[in-house]
Amino acid sequence: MAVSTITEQSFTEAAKSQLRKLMHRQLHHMSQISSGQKIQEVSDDPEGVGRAMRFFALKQESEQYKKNAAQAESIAETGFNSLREMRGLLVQAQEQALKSNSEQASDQNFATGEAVLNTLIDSAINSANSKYLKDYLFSGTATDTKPYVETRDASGNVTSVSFQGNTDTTSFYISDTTKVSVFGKGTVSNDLLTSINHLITLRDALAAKDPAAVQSITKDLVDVEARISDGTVDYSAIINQVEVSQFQNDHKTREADKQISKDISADLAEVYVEFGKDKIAYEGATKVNSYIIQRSSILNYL
Amino acid sequence: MSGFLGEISKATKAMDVYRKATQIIGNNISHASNPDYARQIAEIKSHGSFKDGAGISVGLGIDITEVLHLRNENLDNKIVREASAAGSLTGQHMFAKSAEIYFESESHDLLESSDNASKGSVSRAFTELTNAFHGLSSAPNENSKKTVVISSGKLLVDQVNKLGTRLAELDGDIADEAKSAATRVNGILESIGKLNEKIARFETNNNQKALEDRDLRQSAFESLAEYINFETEEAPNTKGVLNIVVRDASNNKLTLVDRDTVSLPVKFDGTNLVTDASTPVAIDVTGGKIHGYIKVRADFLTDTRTQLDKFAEQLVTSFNSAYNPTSSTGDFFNSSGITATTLALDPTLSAATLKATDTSSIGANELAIAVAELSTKEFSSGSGDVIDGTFVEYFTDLTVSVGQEVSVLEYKMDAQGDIERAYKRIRDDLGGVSLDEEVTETMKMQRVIQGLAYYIKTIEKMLEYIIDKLG
Repeated sequence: MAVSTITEQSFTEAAKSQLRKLMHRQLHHMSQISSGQKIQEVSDDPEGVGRAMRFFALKQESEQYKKNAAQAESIAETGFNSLREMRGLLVQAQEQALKSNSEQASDQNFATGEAVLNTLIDSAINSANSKYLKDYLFSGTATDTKPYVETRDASGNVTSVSFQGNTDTTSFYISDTTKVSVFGKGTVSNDLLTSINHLITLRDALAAKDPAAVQSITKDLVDVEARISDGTVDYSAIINQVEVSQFQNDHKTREADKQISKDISADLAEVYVEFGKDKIAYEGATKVNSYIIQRSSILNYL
Repeated sequence: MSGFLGEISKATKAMDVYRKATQIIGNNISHASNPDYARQIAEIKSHGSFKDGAGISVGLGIDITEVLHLRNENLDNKIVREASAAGSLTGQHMFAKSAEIYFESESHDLLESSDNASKGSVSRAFTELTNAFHGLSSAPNENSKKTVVISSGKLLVDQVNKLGTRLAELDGDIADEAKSAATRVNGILESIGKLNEKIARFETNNNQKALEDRDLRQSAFESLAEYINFETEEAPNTKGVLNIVVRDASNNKLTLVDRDTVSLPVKFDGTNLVTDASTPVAIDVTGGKIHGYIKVRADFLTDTRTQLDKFAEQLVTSFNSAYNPTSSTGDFFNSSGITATTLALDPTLSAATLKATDTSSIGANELAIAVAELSTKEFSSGSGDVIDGTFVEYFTDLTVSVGQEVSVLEYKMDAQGDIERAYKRIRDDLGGVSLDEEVTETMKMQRVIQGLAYYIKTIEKMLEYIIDKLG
């Protein structure tokens, strides 16, 4: 091995360069420990940052879908409850019709039935005008318009009801692939109007003490009750769909977190070990450099 | 008698030679921490000998025949070349790193939940905006959702504007830095001219090399190489006077320093390094920091800014097209601001005027859905779009390309640094100063001078004895 001159420059430059490198590594590991991220700058691992950014966007979107899904679930539950209530009113109306439809029905029975029906009609109108926050559920996309507007006689009894909304539907995303319609279900809006109108017809039949008319409208009430029941099933299906989507959104969020963590998270145990090594190396280097600078020189013996 | 006197004279002269050699060692010691200095060694040689009357060969004494300069021209040239290559990378890295800092928020807080994550990120601000439209689509009549859309829109505009402005400022910073570097180059050229003049004067008058001025000139070459690449040519009819030559785009020579004169100073004209003359000629700079500045500005920064502008333009066109499909009910973004620095929300846009629908039905949401769907829309430049891929993919790719540029430059700088350090180490081994070696040499000189003094004293005593006995 050729032995060359070791100059003063060699000592100091090598020492400075070594200390600089070790200090830089210590700082890098310190930042990783304090932030928990192994990547401090994009250039540390551009591909890893790119992957993490894509997963982060996916996570952000999934979190928004979760919010939308929660909103859809709340609206669907409100709609479901309104329809279930309407169905209950229709069943009660059918019971009144049955009581007034027998041969033994007295005038008193008809009068009571009429009074009960008036109450049921008011309840049905209220139910059909249900709101989610400030939006009407069954007025199609005209959510600020009260959908079922009644006309009353001098006694305050409802004589007719008109539908003021529309039958348009809106939908929104509850996951990246699933959209749901919770407002403005056109067929339901019609069925609700039909329900109320049938209740009015029944009430009028009872007022007229006309068993034949009562019997006739009772059949219609059974039909519309079945359709309203189908509406509740639709809302149940939406609630189920929302639950499935929520599960998928949760899964996507967790997966995104896992992937981000894979690229970004510092393995703290490993970083601590590396930091410890750097610390020891730095201490060693400073000692060695200090020794080299104050090394035995021929000057010490002159 | 005359023989004794001759010996005294020879020994006295030898003492003088060693005094001079010791001076050179002292000079070496005083430059021990100067990396530009090359060690000097006095070459002491005999004057030869003659035969005296008795036929005995007698030495004529010694002299310093040459002061060796431990400098290797080939190595020096290599170091100049490598300094130029390193300068270019340093110049590029300095500004690519600055650009990366502006993209830093994209990689920050990725482990945080998205609600707590850094708000300085463009990609996150974009997703927040499309998410806000998703939110609005679920409750088109809710004012709070509209407020979120507006604030998210403002945030995205602010982030894109800031990034665009910073990159534009960086472009100006590079030009300023290149101007300063050109001034620095002129200063170095001036120094080289002066050193050429000193070297020529000294070497003509003394028939010796102006070693320390040559060291200084080599150091000036290395400083110059940090800024530009160049060649040196010996000036005609001189020894050791070096002209500084660069090339134009057609490979023609341009002499920047002619002997002791800066014949062509340089300046940065805003785009290129040119000669500062009545008819400036662009210099073909292929190395040094100025090359790095020009390259990073023309390639990397221009590409980055163009891509960011495309991102802004695609935002404006696609958002407006989704938000205002009939072009008659008001835009989301100001349609005239299609660059990163001019991107702005439509001036008439507010939470009160924000639309989720173009219909009269307050619960309709077709516009909110159309805008929200832009989060996953795949654009294609082949189909007339400005960008390719989704917005997030495009911006992520832009961020990755910035990080990749810095990463590659750092890798190259490491490799370049290793080469440069290796050459400097070899040069240092060859011509650096070791205190221990110099002190050993000093002691050797001391011993020789002691010996000579003893020799002179002994001759004197012998002369005294002879005179006493004869007298």
